[in-house]
Amino acid sequence: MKRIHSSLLWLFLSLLVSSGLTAQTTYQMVTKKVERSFSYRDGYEVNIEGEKAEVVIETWNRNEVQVIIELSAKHPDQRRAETDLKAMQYQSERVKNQIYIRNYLSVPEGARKPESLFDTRYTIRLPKDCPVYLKNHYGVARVSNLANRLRVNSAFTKLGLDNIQGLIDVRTRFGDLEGSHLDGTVTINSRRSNIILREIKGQYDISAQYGILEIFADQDLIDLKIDAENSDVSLYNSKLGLFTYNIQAQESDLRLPNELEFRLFEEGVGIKRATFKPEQEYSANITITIRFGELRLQKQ
Amino acid sequence: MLEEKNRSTLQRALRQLPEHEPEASVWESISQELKEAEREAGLRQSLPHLSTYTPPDLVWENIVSELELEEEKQEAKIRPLFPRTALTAAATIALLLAGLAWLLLPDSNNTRVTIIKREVRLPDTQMVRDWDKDEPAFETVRTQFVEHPLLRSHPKMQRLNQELEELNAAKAEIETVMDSYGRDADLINRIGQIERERSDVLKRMVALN
Repeated sequence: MKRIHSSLLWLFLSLLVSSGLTAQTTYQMVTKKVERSFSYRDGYEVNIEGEKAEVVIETWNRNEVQVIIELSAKHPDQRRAETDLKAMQYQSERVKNQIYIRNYLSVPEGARKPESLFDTRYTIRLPKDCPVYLKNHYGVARVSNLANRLRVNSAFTKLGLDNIQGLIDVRTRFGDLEGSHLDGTVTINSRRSNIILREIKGQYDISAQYGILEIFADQDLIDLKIDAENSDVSLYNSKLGLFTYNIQAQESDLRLPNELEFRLFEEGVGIKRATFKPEQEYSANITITIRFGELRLQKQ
Repeated sequence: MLEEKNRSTLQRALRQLPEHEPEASVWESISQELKEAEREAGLRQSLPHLSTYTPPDLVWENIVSELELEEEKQEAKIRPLFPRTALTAAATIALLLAGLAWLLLPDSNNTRVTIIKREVRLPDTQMVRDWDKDEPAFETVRTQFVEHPLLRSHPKMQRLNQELEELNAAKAEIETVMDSYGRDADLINRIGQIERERSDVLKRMVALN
């Protein structure tokens, strides 16, 4: 009897602790899954506008664009979730050379305001040469293996780019960008976003405010230009001495590697300049302007 | 030069031919058709001035699915009805229409929609909304430091104030999204991040004093 009491006490205590730690509610989730394909021709562009969406863009060998949209509404009452889901609209159509895909909330006038939690998930499969324009706010996006042109406009979004070649243009606000194996002409404009770039090649023009930038480049970097304000920039490379550096820092900390003999100048109150040129005749340029931040160059 | 033979015989024969008056209904019908043609010409002139409307996606989907159903029904009894020339003409017209459709219409022939229902357990986020608790502190700092006659012209204070305003706008933006899409854990995390940055700015404002 004593053992039963003690077991019940343990059960009660465990329930109490687990409910306190993970207060959870059971939701009825209703998902509308839309699958659609478009035949692909050269000159087409896929244009995605996601709101509160998770976007996954992948490539495949087929000459078509496959679009899977999953619109979800979650509510403790299933009927309410079903009704609310009707307010979640989508568009998926081709108009001339543009394949438009988007989601949005539209509550008819006079209709009851939705109470559900809404989510959208896009899975897009397309040929690697297909240009893509992605606008995503308040969500997540993962793009991989594209080889032509990618333009991204994101806000409050975690953006992951992997193995992308060609023209890459990213604008991010209040988001995070993690890119790896990028190769091409890359332009990044970021505000209040953290950026991590790994194993990058090609030409880069990065403008950043209020963020942390970590760049791991290899010797195939052709040109790197960074204009950073109120940001911390770290550049890692296994062969730092292969590049020509031109650094200007205003009210910022400079942490330069001892093994490279930088020439340092004071250009004004709180303005420093650091330059370095390697012995070989031709070398890639790294130009960094930083204001109110910190710059660190470090051997990888 | 050709000479006309039996001219008088021909003229006599022509004169002997019977004359027929058309019935009144024939003239009425011609007059009706002329009026119809006039009306159509008027309509054609007005056509370019009419507004154009793109039908909703669903309409095309329904048309295509109905056509597919019709095709399926007819598949078993296909037999040649037209001569080859007519078929060629029809095929040409169909190609032209398909080209026109490629230019103007969305591909809507392969959409599949399924509804999935399941139960999920999620963190209870509906009760969480405590981020405005410290707004009085922000207000105090604003009145005491940002609007302070000596501090407000300080460049650092001005920059910090701009930062705070940007963060306030970001917070309001996320609250609007929460209002529409629901207050889920991801959005609460984002508000938390913005609140941490706002707190940091607030502390730096106070430290300027």
